[in-house]
Amino acid sequence: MSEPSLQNPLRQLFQPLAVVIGFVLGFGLLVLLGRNSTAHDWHRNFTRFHPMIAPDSMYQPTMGEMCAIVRARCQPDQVLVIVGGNSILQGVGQPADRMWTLRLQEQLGSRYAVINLAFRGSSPTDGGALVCEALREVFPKQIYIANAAPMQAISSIGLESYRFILLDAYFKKMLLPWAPRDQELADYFASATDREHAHEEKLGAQLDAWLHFRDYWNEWSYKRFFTFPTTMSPTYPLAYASRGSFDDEETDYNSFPFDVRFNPKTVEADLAITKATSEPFYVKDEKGNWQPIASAHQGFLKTLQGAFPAPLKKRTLILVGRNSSFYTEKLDQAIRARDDLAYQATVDGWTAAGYESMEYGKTFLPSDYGDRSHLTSEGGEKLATVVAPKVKAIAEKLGYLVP
Amino acid sequence: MPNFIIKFINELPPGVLKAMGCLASLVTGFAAAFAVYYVLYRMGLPSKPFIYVAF
Repeated sequence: MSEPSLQNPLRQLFQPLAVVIGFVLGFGLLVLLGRNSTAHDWHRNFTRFHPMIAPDSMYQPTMGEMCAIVRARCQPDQVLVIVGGNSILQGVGQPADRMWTLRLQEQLGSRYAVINLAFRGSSPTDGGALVCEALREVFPKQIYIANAAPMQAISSIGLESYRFILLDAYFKKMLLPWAPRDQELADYFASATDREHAHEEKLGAQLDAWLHFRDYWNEWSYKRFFTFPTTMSPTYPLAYASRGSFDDEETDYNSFPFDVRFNPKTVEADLAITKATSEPFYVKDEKGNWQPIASAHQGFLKTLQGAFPAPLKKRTLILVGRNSSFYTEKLDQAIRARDDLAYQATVDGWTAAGYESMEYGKTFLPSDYGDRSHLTSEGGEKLATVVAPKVKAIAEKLGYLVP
Repeated sequence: MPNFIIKFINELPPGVLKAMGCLASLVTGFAAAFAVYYVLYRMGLPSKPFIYVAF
């Protein structure tokens, strides 16, 4: 007789309308938390995007997160100096307390705020460039520094590995209108090798512009725990540790003996790369003089026109780094002369397109390099010494130092 | 579900039972929202991490 009353009471408890209300309220609350999460900076002791807070370990910093890092470290009366570019400017091989951007900050003084937003393997128009652009009204006194290889063609939409940052900025309407970039992005969506993936990326960025789930879960990952292990992160239990608990533990090039860093196998490969630095851009004429290959030069120059929005070019400093003299000294005179032409043409090309540009490294010692292109702490200090006067000159030229 | 729990629930006053049901349903809805919000984040991540090779 009592059987009917012993039926599973979940049916009585379950109220579909309340579930829907709970879902809507919960989702709304999470969106609010996501939107609010980048109102403050959660990166304690930020140095740079070391591998545990970078795509290397499946942590993809958001634009809001990076802007919060900058807002927390730059005062309105300071000149904001954002360093973008690749691992060379990130300071790979330089420990956190001796990275070159700290030396640059010291040399520039308190009127400037130097922030390293470079990513490994990124291009001049990736991450840091977009953060700088997004903050153009908050910090109108700004200088953006990045690096490029000789005659390197530049895409206004950067590299695929870091496109998530561009899409984040683009769909959150943080960027200036810039027709060449819009066109290149449209072409990318239309012709990407993996078109389905490109459209998923686009849809994800469009959704996130409204819902801010990436901001929310990045804050969660940084402060609480990371939610899944990755092939690049440490093994259990550290795989799940909060990303904020990892320090910037960049290896010091100087901790490896010179003959380990420059072992015969590495030297052979890097020497071949060094020899080929300017090869695609020049050809010898009948008299044995190097002549530019017009199509290669024009291709390079054309990309500079649309690489950055016009109003931002004059505050953009492009550094063109020499290969280590350990390698260049092994080249014959003709190749060295060809390299000189290529470096000069690269700096001239950037300058003619409205940017600031300079080369560095020609007089650096082999010990200033950790490998063919990355600098040791000593090399980084030399880089800061040659870049600081240029940054000051740009600030002066743009009227940033007028009280 | 064990019988003693079913009995306990069935013996609760109807008002309390309704309130408990409402609360449990709200929590279920919230948990679903939390899961969906997380899935949106995970779906946006690449399947493999970025592998950096220095040149």
